[in-house]
Amino acid sequence: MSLFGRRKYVALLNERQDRVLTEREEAFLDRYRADHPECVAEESLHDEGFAMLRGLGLDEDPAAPERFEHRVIRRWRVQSVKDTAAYWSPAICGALVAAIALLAMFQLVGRSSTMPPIDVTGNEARRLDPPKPVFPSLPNPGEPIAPR
Amino acid sequence: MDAVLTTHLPNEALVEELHWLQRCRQGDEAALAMVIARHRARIIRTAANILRDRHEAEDVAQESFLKAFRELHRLRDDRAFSGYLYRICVRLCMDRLRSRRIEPAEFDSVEESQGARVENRLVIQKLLGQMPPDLRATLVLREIEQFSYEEIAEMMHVPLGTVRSRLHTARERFRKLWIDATRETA
Repeated sequence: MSLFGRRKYVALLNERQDRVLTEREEAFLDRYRADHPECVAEESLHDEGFAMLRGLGLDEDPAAPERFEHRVIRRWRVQSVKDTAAYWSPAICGALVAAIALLAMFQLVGRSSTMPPIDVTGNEARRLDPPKPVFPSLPNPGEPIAPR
Repeated sequence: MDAVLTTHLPNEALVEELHWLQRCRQGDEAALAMVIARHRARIIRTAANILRDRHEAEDVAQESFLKAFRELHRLRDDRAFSGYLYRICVRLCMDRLRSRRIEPAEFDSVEESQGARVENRLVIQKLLGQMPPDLRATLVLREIEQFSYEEIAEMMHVPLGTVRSRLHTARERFRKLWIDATRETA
């Protein structure tokens, strides 16, 4: 009950800042204050804090209003120029040229790596026919020599 | 787009602004200057109150105007321009707050010679610095800027119920922080 009462008390304190409380709600606050005297001091702190907060408003105006407007308009001009195609066309052209150059470079590099190898079959190691002996083999002793 | 925030402008001023906005779309710099002059002070003040930094507030205000002018073609109803401008401003402020680190509370750093009033202002600024960006912005827009719940909902692009719950949480947190800080400094 006490926790519920406390919650309602705090909620009403907050709501009091936005609207006029009903008589019933005011009566509840009075009853709560009477039962919990320590809350009265806290409530005055609460009111003081929110009064300070409301009084904290900065009434800022730029030191030189014309300069502020001038800056905004200058930035707006720069922005509108940047939004036009004419502003970006040199950059786009440059990017296009660079892209084409890169593409050409990649093409060249790719082609050199896929080139057919030079024909080096003549230098390949391969099995040759056995060499013919310089001297004919001699017949075994007793064998007749074959006529040439 | 809603036109909630245009209600603070009288009818004649609104008609005048609609005319300026038409000219702004055609790139008329004089009209831009007039629109800026009309909203400048309030936009800077709102940003300064949320950010607690004058220079950053001016920077955010400039960005808000630029973004609003750049996206003017998206605006279906010109009567909603001021709401649109404030929404941009609050969002930019929130982005800046999110990118900041939550400041640690050091209440003993205030010099006694500055006086109790200045001291309390500094304490409150530090307390605001300890709150999450959403809660802080909601609290500032309601308590300092005195915007209505509907206007805050429009600016922060959240439902009305979210504004109520955020404000309740923010007030609760502020109350606790304030009471703790007062006890600490006492």
